[in-house]
Amino acid sequence: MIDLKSVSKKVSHVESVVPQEKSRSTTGSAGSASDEVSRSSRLLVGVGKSDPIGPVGSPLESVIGIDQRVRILDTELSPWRMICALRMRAPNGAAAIGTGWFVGPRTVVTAGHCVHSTQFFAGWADTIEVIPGLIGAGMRPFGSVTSGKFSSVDRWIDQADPDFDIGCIHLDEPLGETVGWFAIGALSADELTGFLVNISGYPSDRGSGNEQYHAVNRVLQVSDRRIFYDVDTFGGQSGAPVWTQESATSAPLAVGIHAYGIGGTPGSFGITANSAPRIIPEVFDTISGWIDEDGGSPTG
Amino acid sequence: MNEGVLCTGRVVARDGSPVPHAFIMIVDGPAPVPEIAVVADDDGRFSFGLLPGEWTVQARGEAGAGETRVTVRPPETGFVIAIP
Repeated sequence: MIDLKSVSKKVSHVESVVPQEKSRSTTGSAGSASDEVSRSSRLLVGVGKSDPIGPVGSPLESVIGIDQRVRILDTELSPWRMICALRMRAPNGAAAIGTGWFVGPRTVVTAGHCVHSTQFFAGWADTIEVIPGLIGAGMRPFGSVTSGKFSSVDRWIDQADPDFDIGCIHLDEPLGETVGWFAIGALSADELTGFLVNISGYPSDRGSGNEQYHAVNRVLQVSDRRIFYDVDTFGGQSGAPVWTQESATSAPLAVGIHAYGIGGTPGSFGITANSAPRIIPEVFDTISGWIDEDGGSPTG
Repeated sequence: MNEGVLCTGRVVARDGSPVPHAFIMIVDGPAPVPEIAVVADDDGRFSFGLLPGEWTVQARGEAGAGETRVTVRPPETGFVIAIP
């Protein structure tokens, strides 16, 4: 097991993380905004374990076979409002879009490459605007906040290893108290295999990064540090939550951070799949540390 | 992925005029590709790093999408993506 060290943009010290063996989860929150049940959630969110859903094709991109993404129109409701469109700007003038999600009142998790990328930003992002539950262009039910405080882990910063592509945006405002936050869970490979995983985010090919799209399908394979699935995604959905749900009435449990299209899947696996770094115990501890840095969560 | 070779590009319309604020995605290549979407500047220009090799880069603007196959070689590679 590798000790992950949290690396922050403006904090020089690093924290050691003690690896844990037991699977654990945090407690999520639906937030203080409307408790109306989302019709989209009831109809679209995949629960439990299943055989594969729908046709599987042989694609070039990360929409695998027929595009099964569905636009979410009630993003002002839970869990969609916990998911945020991200607008990244870098000191070198580069700009990009991605997706993030709340894990605490002031803590938004995303892909590591959304906060630090030698490839796209020549280092750390300068600022990221976080827009929870963006419905469409200019339609921001909870406004937006901009932050310049980010964290990632040393294995991403130093080596850009896709297995460690995780990052965090620290907010000054407790916007998560309003929109809520996902529980995170470190599940074993056996627990994850065959589970339906849900991914929802802000792709660039539909709605120009202003509309939230959801898709669901089965976990195809699990490696030590990644989850592989044929859930349709596209550029702009980097950082989106990969979540499971035990039943229609249970809370969503985030188990991964979507980061790669099919090019990120080793050919030796013999599958066409998109992938996410798993929330394994070290990642769980790292994210928990980030939440604590931001003041913790009342129920976490 | 490391920083790689500097790749600079421009998104243009059929008539050659720049497409401002187009989204650029790396959709295929010899290394894992993050699912981020880069945003072109006011003049349709963008840049990022890629490892040497054959890559497919796609651009999307209000008028539609286009893509190009790019052979990335050091020290620097430039290309244009036309949106038909």
